[in-house]
Amino acid sequence: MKKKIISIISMLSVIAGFADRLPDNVVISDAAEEYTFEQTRDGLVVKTVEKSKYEATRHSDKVVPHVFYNNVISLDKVSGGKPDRRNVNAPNVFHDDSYICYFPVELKEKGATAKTEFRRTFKDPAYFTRLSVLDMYPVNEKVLKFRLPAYLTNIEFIEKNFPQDCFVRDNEIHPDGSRTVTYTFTNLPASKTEKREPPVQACEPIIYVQGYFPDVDSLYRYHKRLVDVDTVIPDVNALLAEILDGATERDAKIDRLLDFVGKRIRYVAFEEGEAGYRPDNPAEVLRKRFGDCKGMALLLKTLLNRVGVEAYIGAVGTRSIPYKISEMPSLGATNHMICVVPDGDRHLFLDATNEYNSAGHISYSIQGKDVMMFKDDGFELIDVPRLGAEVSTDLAIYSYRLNSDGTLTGSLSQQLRGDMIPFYKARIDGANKKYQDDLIERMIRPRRQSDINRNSLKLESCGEVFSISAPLTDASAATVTDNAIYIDLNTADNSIIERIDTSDRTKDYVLPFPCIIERRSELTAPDGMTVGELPEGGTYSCAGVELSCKFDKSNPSVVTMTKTVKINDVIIPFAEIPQWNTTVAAWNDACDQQIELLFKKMQ
Amino acid sequence: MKTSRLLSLFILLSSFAVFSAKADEAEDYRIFADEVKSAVYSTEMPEFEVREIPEKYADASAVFVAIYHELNARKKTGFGHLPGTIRFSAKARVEGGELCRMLIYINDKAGLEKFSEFDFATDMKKKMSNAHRKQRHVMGVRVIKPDGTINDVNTDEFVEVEEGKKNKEKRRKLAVPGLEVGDMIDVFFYTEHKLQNVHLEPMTYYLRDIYPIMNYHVHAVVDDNLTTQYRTLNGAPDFAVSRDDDKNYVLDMTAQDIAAEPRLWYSSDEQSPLVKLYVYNRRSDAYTPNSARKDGLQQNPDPKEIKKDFWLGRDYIFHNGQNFANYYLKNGAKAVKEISKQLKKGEIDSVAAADYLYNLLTLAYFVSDENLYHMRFGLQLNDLLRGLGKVKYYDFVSTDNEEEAVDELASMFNAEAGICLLDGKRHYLTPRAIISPSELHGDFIGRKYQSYHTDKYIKQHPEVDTIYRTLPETSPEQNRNVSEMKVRTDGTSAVIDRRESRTGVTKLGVQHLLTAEDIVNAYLSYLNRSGAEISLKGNNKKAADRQERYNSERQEQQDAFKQEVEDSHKNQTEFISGKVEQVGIDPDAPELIYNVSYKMDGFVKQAGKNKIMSVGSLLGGQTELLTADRERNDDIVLSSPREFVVRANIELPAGYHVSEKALDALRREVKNEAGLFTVTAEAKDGHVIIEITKRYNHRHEPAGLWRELTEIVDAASAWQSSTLLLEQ
Repeated sequence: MKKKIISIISMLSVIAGFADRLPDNVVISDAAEEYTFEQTRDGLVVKTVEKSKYEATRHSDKVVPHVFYNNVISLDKVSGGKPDRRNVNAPNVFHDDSYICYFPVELKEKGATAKTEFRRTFKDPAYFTRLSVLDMYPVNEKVLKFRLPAYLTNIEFIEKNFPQDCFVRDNEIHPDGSRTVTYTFTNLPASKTEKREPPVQACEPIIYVQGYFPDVDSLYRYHKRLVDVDTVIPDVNALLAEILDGATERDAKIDRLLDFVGKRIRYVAFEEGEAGYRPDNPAEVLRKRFGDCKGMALLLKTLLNRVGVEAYIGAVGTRSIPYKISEMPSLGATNHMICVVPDGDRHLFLDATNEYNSAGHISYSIQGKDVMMFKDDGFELIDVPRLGAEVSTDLAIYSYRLNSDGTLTGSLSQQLRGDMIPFYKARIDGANKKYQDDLIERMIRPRRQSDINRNSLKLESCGEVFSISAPLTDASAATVTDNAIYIDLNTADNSIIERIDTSDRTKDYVLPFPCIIERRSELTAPDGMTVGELPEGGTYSCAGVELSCKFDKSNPSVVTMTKTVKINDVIIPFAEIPQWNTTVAAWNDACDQQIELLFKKMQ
Repeated sequence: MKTSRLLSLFILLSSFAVFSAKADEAEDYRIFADEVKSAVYSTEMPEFEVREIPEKYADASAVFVAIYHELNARKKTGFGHLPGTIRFSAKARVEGGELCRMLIYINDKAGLEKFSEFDFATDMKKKMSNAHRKQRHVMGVRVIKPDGTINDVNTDEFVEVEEGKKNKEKRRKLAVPGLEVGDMIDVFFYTEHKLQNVHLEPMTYYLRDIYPIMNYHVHAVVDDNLTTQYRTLNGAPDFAVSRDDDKNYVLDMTAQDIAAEPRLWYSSDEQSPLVKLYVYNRRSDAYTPNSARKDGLQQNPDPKEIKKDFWLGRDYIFHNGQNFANYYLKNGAKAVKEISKQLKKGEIDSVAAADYLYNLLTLAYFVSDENLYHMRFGLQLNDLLRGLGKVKYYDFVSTDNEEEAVDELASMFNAEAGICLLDGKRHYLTPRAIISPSELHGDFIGRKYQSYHTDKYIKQHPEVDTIYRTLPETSPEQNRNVSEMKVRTDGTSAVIDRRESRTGVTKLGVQHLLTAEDIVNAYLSYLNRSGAEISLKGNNKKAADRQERYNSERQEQQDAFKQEVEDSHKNQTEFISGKVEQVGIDPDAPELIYNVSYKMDGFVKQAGKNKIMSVGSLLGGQTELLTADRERNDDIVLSSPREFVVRANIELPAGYHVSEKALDALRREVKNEAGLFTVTAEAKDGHVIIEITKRYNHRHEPAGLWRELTEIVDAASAWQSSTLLLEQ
């Protein structure tokens, strides 16, 4: 679903090609932005004037001032350079109507300055939902004004993630009842991107423009006119018969239709004009065999309805938007559409854009949010449950025996659930056929020198579980001495849990999703050897993550090492990163401890 | 001929487009696109009717069932006014089109991703004084389902985008509707040309791709009043040539059943059959090579003539080496005089003098904002060397490894100028990286070259025009990367001080570690040993600006070092510092040397009372072959002969020692014709010293040595898992 919202941050992401690094040589010494709500012949609009003065503080440089616009934001005036413009689409978006207007400006020497001015009009204030305060460059002083006529009493400005002591807010009410809200900022840092950072809206200063939709009901009415489209599908019964293939149970019908839309319809994001909010006709999506989230959701809903399953489309905000629709009803609160199926006292949240999700699973990307479910006679706001780490698991068991040549042979059995399934399957399916087995081997082998027997490799989907099994050999795990053999049972697949580079870090660190990852390695000691004293192992925790490593000797000749990662909360707060690094190092050290097999003494 | 019908229609369409220019532009384009599409798909081409995919391609992500290229170029004469005047004059024009049609079988999701979305410019207009290049592009798509159903994609399905200054650039995007794995996609791109006073852009047809090709066909119809030259390379079949009723040259070439290119160590330019085709309009104002100043077709023209173009073209270049150096460098001219004086006095030899001038000119270019054009650089260096009097040298022409060899030269624009000292000790080429004059850039290793002779000399000694020499193949030792590591342990981590010393080709991958300040200082230090007092030009203000820019770069350089460290080891690392020690532009000290310090996690593991060190992790990331790589019929093309040496001096933790058996487990010796991988290990005074050498002997190896090469690759890859037991 389209996000036609003003966002300097989104502009930064598209302009990133111009400057990977943000030098502190250039500063915006003076910035002034005015946003005026104005009644025109065409209705209420928001006119903007954005002025910046760039300055090279140490040496000559080049800057590329830029501004974003699209079908609902017109670009009225540009000054400061000869403008060029490019259509820019976010990654994974095939097409949208977003443009960026830009021009290079040379700051020829230290102290050189350049002034730029952009004027734009939000033709529909519904799209004026938020304002990012930061820029690509540090800002010495920035004045941000909102001018509102007297009758727009509902509009308010909500500050989020504002740093302390760098701004002043002033509310002025004029004699005619009109208002001017002024923010004055001093010494704002540059916006910067960090590895695995939280969503921009959750970590950088934002002003939300709230109140255009005074309540959820008015937001629904705005959406409703856009989602009413023709849902007639020619020859739908023949299609359904083919898809259902005799399935009569409700759950089976849901599974098959979700599978059909997920696998046979390509996800192609298309967001031109109203198409950013209006779903494509189901018949068109079927004909094209592609659609965006709206088109896929509506197709699935239509097919489900045709087979007697109650289903609705629902607008939802993913977790990149750190608030719910009910908390701040605006167009900025949603950016995705799914199909919602009432299911007894719960709901199924079917996201056909993720072909690997089963009907019963709720993707972490929408957990904890709310869905505006479009019913025939209104809407219902449904809370999406927040699920625990247990729903997304990656459990692998390696069973080894030690051979006389020091190699380990055995088998791997791995089971994936929840969000772990797309994590693996999307990569496998995305690889060239010729290299798929190699890729799988690299994904599942415990270490680089482990060999998977590909002839016996099995991949199996059963219900909500995806299983991988294969025989394997590891020639590098054992170190043989005269008195003992040391076995490394640790696996080298800790890419999720790693030390965080603190050198330039300023933000929290975000792990992918709550989950449990467990690696259990069982080793049967050969005759004539006995398991020595087991390493201690240990349990560790930091932020919302639990790490453990356990060594166990269930019988004298079998030793088991179990290492577990449990991510309850994905955020590693900035302040806890040093502790996180210490924790990860301790856990890794514990897991790296070798198993000692001793030669039995002759009786 | 059926294809002639297709071409005729294109010409008709072009005319239509001209007459309807005043009509609504979008509608005009739509009609044009629809008619081109109709013409293309109504042409009978049996290769595009094939629906069966041979079993041998079952594991290919996609298969090109058929590829068809068509070129049509007709000379026209138009009239236009001279720029800035009201005078009219004749204009040399070329009109025509290029078609590329492909039938592609989609065999997996990766293939579907690749061929399901397209984005192309519809309009391109370039104006240059009284010349112009106008192009319109059309794309057509039809989807062929496994049951044979053909679904044409309507022009309305394309998304149109306007952008650029004043919205003059137009693009179209298409997400192909109805396309699924198992389908075929029949897609074409057509470009209509209208050129004035310019030549057609050169065309290269590669007869091989990363996907297998079942049928490849090139068809060209070229006006006999234009000049057409082509060169078939790397075993490409020749064109069958005929004339049509209008006396146009008609060229046809086909190839079938072409296997996919291998994933590793393959050079399309050196190994894939390909054809380079050039169409010149000699009547245009654009520079026309001498060999092309005669209408008609030249099939695989004599390379001598093309080389002659090169040397003739060079005559038009303005150059003065000494002035250039002096313009951009303070005391540049003085330096030239000084070095000449030292040579005359015998204080330096001619190689040292020539190296000096090469570096002087390189620095002048580095600090200037001028484009580095090889012909001009070569002539300027020639000027400087000539001024020395005593230095014997000759000019030569060569090509880099992305172009054809000079004895098969297809166009003067593919060649590169160079200068060779008479004793063969130096081959100076236009700098493509910061390397020493004594080194050869990887792009030119083992490339053929030919020395320059005047026409008069060639007439007297015709044999010189057939003599080709070869630029040095270089040795692994000349392209060596030595990593000297001092390793001590800190708990379970390794603290590493690594000194990297690189020569030749191995310098190329770390050029980004050098700052402008490193480079300028290195050149100035080298050049000023002559006593010339060279410095950069500019007033105090400019110097201060430059210094501040250097400071900013220095900050960025640390990020580059940090990335280098992260890329060097699979284990997690914590960067401490990085510094360039030597840039490597001095022939007496050609090594690029830098130092990095960092901590590496997980190096030491507890094993009972003993410890195990993951010494294999000290060896940087090694290539790991995939199953599909194991079988190979193509010759192997590496970037150069190379040698990688890692010398690790590991300080053992107090109280621990290593046994001979543990050391022996680290030792390796894989030696064969393709190269070697060896590891030596010894213990001395509480330290373990490991020396790892990996060597690739040659840039080219025959396919027959693939097994030998994989032995080296596999040995290096496997050694990364090596561990060393430390006993208490």
